[in-house]
Amino acid sequence: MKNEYQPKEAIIKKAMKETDDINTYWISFLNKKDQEDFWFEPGQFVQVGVPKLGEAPISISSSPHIESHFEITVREAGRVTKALAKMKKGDKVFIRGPFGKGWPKPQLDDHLVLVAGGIGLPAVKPLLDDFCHGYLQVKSLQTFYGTTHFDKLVCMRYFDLWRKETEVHITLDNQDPRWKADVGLITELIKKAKIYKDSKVFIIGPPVMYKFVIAEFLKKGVPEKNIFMSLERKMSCGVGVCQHCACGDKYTCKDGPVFRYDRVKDIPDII
Amino acid sequence: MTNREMEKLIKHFEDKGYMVHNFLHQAGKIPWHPFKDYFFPPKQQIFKYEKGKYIETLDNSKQVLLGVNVVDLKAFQLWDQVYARDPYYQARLKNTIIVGLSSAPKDKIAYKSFILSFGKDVLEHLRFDLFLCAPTKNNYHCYTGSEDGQKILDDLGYKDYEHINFIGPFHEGQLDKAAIDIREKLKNREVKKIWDDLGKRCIECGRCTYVCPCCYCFEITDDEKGNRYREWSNCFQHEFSEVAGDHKFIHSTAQRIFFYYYHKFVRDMDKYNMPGCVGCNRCSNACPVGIDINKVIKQIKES
Repeated sequence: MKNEYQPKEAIIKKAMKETDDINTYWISFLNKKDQEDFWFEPGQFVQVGVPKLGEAPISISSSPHIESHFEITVREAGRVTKALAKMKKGDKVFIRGPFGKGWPKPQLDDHLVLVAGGIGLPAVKPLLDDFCHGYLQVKSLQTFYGTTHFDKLVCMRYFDLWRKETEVHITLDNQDPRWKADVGLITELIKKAKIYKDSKVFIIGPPVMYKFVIAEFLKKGVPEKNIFMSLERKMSCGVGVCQHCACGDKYTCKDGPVFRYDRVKDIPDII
Repeated sequence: MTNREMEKLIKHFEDKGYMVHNFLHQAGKIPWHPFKDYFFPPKQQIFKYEKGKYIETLDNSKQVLLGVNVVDLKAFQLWDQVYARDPYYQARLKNTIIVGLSSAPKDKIAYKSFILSFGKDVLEHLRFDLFLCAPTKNNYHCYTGSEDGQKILDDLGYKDYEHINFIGPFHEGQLDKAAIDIREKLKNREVKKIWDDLGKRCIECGRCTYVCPCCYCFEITDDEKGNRYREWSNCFQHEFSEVAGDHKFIHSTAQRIFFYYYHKFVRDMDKYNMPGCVGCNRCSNACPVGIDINKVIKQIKES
């Protein structure tokens, strides 16, 4: 019987600093076959385990088309992520997953809009990567990314490529002499932008963000069924049993983390 | 089967390396303690890391549960579904002989609660290896429910038994209707007052979850030696929904008790076609502030 709780050994191939408390890791499985068999959808997550400390659920931030490794971007927040922050190339971690349902597969005639707040950006990065490298074809792609301070920006090394290939709006809540682009809340950016009424909108960010961002898109005439959001909850088992991530009649780890807005909007406290 | 023959049966189990948990003295009663520990210990090691390597730790010891009442047998059917793909639960199940017990004769086994009522054909809907009916002292009527059960009695040379064919866990009619009713009420109408009132009374001790034969929440924990465990947890713990950075998604007592009911009567019903409740009343008896599930369900039904 397949054991969903059995993690697989993996090695950190590369560790990169994003901000003072956020790091990106390239990870590949120790066993070659595990690496070959590892297939995921953008938006899915893995449980990253550190012996003696536990596991943390983290979204995969690389394209599934990269075969040699996968990438995660992690903020130091709890026991496991603090230990990860001290790790370097060659250190071992234990991986379970991928788990959950990712973003719906974008179609050729979609106008796709990605909205990310803070540490949410890495979870939509696989789509941006795929778009820039020709794996993802859509009619149009717009991205809105907002974070608090200049020093909290993640994935900066890709900004130039993304800006060249697609429409990317990035904003900071607070002004900074080093920042030449937009300042203000992400909702202001969306308000100003031209959005196709039949856009598909993918949203991920801190819990406080969803209501306001969704309201903007509804005002623009985007139907509820075109809005998808990836939710954060305490995912522990990853297979819809332990109940920690339950929300109404849904399990975030199994039915989500990506949910279609109209299907869950009536669940109390879901966002 | 006489008491003497029962002793022989017990010895037979012990000779084969089984640990016999004897509940025969509880005939006709629902004991205070549920049976879930025997499949799902409060703290169970699921593996360990040794020198940076994963090492499996399945518990393959053999046990007999001798004398499980019909209400708790019903609860096993929920577990069988929830943990159908769980190697740890399955390892316990594979190595456990379940012997059911009733103080009534087969055709007179009856139980009625707000969620579960048993009729005449109850044994055909329960999973067990052996079942004993003990209407009088020193006389057990024996039924078998599995090949394992038959083999045991054959090995023992005991012939006076009848085989009962398991025809699936679900009863038609009454039972399902009661559960569906509660689900629809909970899904379509969230009557805040019920939960606000309960939220004011509940002291979040979690006793209802420990004694519940259907509560199966857990969390995964590691210790400093590299052992990983699966431990019972319950939705009244404040850290139940807490993610890194101290953010919680469930904030109030009212939300916690709503979560408890919603899990049992909506999420479990949706996924397993049976509620996470068999109407055993253990939670009502265990609650230090007197919250009675019968009354709560009545309020939900009348909402």
